[in-house]
Amino acid sequence: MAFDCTLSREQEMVRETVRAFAEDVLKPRAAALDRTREFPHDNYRRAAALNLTGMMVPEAYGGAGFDAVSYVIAIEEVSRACASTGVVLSVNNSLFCGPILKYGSEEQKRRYLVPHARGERIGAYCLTEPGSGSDAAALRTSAVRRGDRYVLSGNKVFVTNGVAAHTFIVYATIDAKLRHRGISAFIVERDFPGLRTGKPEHKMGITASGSVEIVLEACEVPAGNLLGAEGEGFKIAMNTLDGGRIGIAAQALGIGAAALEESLAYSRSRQAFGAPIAQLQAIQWKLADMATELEAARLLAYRAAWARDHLERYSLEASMAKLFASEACMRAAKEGVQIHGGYGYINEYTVERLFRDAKITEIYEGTSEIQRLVIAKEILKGGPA
Amino acid sequence: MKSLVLVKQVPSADSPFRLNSSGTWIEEGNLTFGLNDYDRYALEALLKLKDAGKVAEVVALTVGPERAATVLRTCLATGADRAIHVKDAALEGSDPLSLAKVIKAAIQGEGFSLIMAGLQADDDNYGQIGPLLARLLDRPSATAAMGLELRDGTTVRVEREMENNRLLVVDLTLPAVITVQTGINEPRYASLKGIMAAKKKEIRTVALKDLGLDAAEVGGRAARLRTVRLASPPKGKGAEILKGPADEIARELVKRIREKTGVI
Ligand SMILES: Cc1cc2nc3c(=O)[nH]c(=O)nc-3n(C[C@H](O)[C@H](O)[C@H](O)COP(=O)(O)OP(=O)(O)OC[C@H]3O[C@@H](n4cnc5c(N)ncnc54)[C@H](O)[C@@H]3O)c2cc1C
Repeated sequence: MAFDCTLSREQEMVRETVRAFAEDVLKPRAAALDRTREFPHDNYRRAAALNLTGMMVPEAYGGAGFDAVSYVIAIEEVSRACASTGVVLSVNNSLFCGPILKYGSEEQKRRYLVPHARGERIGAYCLTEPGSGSDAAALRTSAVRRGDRYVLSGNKVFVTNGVAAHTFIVYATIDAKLRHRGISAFIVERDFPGLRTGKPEHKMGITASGSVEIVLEACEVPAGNLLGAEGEGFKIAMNTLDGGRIGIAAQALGIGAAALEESLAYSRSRQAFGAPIAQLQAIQWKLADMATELEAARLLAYRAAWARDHLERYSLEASMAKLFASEACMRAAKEGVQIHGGYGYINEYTVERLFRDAKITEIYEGTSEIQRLVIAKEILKGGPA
Repeated sequence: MKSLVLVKQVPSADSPFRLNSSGTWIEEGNLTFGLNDYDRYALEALLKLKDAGKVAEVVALTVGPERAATVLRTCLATGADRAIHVKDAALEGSDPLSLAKVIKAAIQGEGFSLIMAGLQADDDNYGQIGPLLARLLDRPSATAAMGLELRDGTTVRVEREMENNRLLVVDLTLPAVITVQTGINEPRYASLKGIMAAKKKEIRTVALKDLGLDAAEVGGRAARLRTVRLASPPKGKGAEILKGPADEIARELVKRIREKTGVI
């Protein structure tokens, strides 16, 4: 089957309903959430009513059974109104439900996937540690088998949703010397003994996304909560990130689209030298570049989403989409501030928040450098060098 | 109990509005369309009754061109059970009375006990379809509902919005036609599962001949109300722009609102 970028009627309807929801419910709250840094519990609950918490999970497991292109559309629309809520949903969908659906046992699916896909619970993903980010295989959190349990010890940082999550997928190693071959994935409930959260991170942007340190002090996890096999964790983590990157590309599209929208409106109304600044060619060129790059990014994201639904491997497509969309988003946010002049630097103007929100898309779920690394590796594969 | 909601596709408020060449309506070329806002509340009122087990079926009906099917699909995705689309080229330019006649014919034999509609349509603001349909069916009607309660199988109690924040409470014997004011409830959004489920729901398309109606009786040619001109209102006189520091402007504004309306 070939990639076709015309949207189906259902995909159009997803855009319509999520946009209405985002405009009416999420957008009016976004500035206050940015200020208070409170986790958007009510947004999450209401998103769950639209089935936005388990979009690609089959209905039999509490999800909506939709395709990845619809997922991109929905996360873009949510993020256009509130980027924090965008990543909160993306993490639950891609980084939590995704791997349990793919690698989980039937029992794990019933126990964990169903309530998280339905949005009755919130999931999180714990890979990064103080000493390992891009080099995830260097993680130190240990997992020691004791009878019918594993005992996990270590620290995880920057855990999105961490302040509110009920359940965490924690990556730990059964033997650090094995590097990536020792890494295993565990489903850890918040109230398992030995798990506690640290202090919330004070972030530049997406301030309401509940990032926190997770401390595991001899945390006891039933053996039945091992996700996949021992040593399979690194593969699960990387495969999960392929899907997650499509979600972050979509988040970037949303932030970028909002920057463009704000800039169009502002440049039409702001007068300078006797005319709206939208009539200045210098401003028009910025707007034209923003619109073009975002549209290109959108098509890359749709293609990556299509590849996820139809191909065995889609790392290349996902990395390209994430890299290009996040950088297009950052440029759009930067030019958006520039178009607003001094007002763009002031908190009352939405672009100020968008500028702060945009930057993270170039960092998490693989920095731009790591995306380039993945892309280069894929395109050089099989050749002599 | 079977129920019906009458819906209309209207231009979205953020569309670019330009007069057409004859000056009688807006240029439709660059418009985007959506479900009339009032109708979302009418649909929600019925879906709530359905959730409560008081209504067995919710049917959505529109009279409109091909593109109007979109709003029926939105209703189906939001929770309506099936839809009826009355579509006929001869209906272009219909006046409200024609539309009410067409709707009456389209629902004949359906046995709807509760018929709801928005108070008015965002585009032409006529507000006539509900009351006219009630008249043609020889059934009671109430407009501007702000509250709705099915008393039993035979009566519906409606709180109608009046001037000065007053409510008029009326009981109507079913079947009845009720038009709703926005704010009567909080309309839900179509869910993703709803969108999926809507694929399997029926939209029955009917033309005038299926209804046994003739273009000489109803529709554009039979219209007894014709639009003469669509125009922007003349620039208001007596508009005043308050000047000065913000706190002074605010104080002056409060004073004037108090004097004029007694609201605050
Ligand atoms: C707000 C926020 C939310 C996050 N949410 C989560 C979460 O939910 N779960 C989770 O597990 N993690 C999360 N992270 C962590 C995030 O994924 C990492 O911060 C990211 O992967 C980068 O890792 P690092 O910070 O350790 O940087 P490092 O890996 O130390 O990188 C530092 C710099 O070196 C560059 N670099 C590193 N290796 C190479 C290389 N081989 N070639 C070229 N350049 C290289 C990087 O690109 C970067 O510029 C989050 C982070 C933030 C800030």
